[in-house]
Amino acid sequence: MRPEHISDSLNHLSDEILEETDRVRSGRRPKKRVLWTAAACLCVMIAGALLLRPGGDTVQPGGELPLLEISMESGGMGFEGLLYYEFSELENGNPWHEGMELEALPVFRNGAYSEVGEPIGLSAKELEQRAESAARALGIEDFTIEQERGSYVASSITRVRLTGEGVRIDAEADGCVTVWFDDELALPEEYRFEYSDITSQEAEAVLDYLIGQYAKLLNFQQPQKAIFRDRNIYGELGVDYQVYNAAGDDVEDILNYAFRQADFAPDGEGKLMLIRLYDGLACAEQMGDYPLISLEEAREALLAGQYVTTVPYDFPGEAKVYGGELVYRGSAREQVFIPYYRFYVDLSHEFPNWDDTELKNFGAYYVPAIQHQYLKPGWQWDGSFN
Amino acid sequence: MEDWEIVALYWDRDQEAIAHTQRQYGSYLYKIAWQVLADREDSEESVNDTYWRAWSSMPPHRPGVLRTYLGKIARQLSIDRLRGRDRVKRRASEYALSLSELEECVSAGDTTQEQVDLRLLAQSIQRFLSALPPEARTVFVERYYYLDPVRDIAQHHGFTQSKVKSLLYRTRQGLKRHLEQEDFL
Repeated sequence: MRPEHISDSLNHLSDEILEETDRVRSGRRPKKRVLWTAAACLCVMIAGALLLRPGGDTVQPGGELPLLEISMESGGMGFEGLLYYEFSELENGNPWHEGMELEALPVFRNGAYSEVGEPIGLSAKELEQRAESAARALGIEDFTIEQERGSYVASSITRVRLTGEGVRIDAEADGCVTVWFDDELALPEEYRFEYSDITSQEAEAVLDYLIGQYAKLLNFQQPQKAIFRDRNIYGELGVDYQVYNAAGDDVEDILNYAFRQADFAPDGEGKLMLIRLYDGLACAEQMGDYPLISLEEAREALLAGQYVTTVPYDFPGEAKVYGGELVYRGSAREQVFIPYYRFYVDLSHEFPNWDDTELKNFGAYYVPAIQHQYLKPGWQWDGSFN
Repeated sequence: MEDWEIVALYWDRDQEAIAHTQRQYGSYLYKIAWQVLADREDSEESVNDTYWRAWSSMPPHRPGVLRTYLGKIARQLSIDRLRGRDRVKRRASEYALSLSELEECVSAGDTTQEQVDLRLLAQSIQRFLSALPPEARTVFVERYYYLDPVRDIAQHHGFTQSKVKSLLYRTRQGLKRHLEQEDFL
């Protein structure tokens, strides 16, 4: 084989892979990593997503809440999962725990994206206000602002860019604000700030420092660290530096964790490259509070085949099931945000030829956390339908 | 104009389709051609050939995302044009540099001329790329499909150039192992 063969074969890559890359090249925001389980996973970042279309016509048991429809698109790009030597290595800072007494949780209709995944929710004026607010919080007074229109929806302003005093602030129409530093900022010597090869104690220490330094920008009354850790295919333990506002009640904490986090990103050389502030509910409309099932009921549903997943392999049985936590899925293509119980299933037996045979591959399985009579029939899905 | 409207013009055999394509995607296609050919005249000819190929292929094709569809055509036509040049006209381009980097992914001293099924190879590479973290995947595709220079890739992601080079190096090594496991090497 020659290098030309490899280069020529790339012309047969799927459109989804090319479009994913083209969005990055065009400056459109890549998908939020944490909601698709991290940058370092064999099975990460599915091209399609779980789509929910609200049913508006059928009468539901409660008489008020619309029935919800779940369907899954997949671009054949792999499945969602995590890599660890032991499942106990999972850290994600999820505030939910079984002891929370929750009878219902809100479901939202997502108005932040066009059909082609372009942010369209907020107005130009709102975007400018967000960018200027971030600038003021950073003490920036001298700046310029420009607006950018969408590639697909040319009439919409999809982003406002503010530049000044060594900083660039992008406010996007889906509610996300990103602060870029022209010259990455060095931290005091006592702090290590890396993507990997860092202990949890070191990661917590540097995140505490950054939360303090950027308190005005975050504007969190009670900032709560939510460090995420997982391994990549080389076995390296990576880290995402995340924080959310835990000043509310349990429901607010769950929503803030899912939709309103802030991320601090290193540049690979120990310096601060950017800060990203998410606001995934900025353009969302609440559809109602839906009654929940318990974690135990969700586990029974999982074992009975009542789940959705992008994993394309046979379900291996109860002995391979790990975890169980309540989360919201909030990726760009989801039309409705609903809560799920997420379980992880050890699929290592499907990968017998891995170099590192100790590294386990956990696929993500989701059971809707709302009572299933509020779901339209036929919602179950797995990756074998790709 | 939306993509589906331009595609409809092709299907209606309305020559306005070419004008709209040129207006909307001309610069994008030119850049793809340039990254391969590094020659203005050849790049312009390659883009014109892309319009002609688009006209010939729609119908029957009806692409959802025109940019990606046209980009594939432009890329392949440009590579074919480069190979047709005589040695005197071949210049260092991002395409030539990318090939020298991809040398690492094939076995040293392999001079076999046997046919390679490009679709099977593409499926295998796609499986490999799908398993990567998104940053590694998009950086690889930027470099070896879109032929973007390392400095541009660094800018797209907010990375340093050294991080981009490290990512590419590790991904090439991983690809080589993958191709060996799948008996392509």
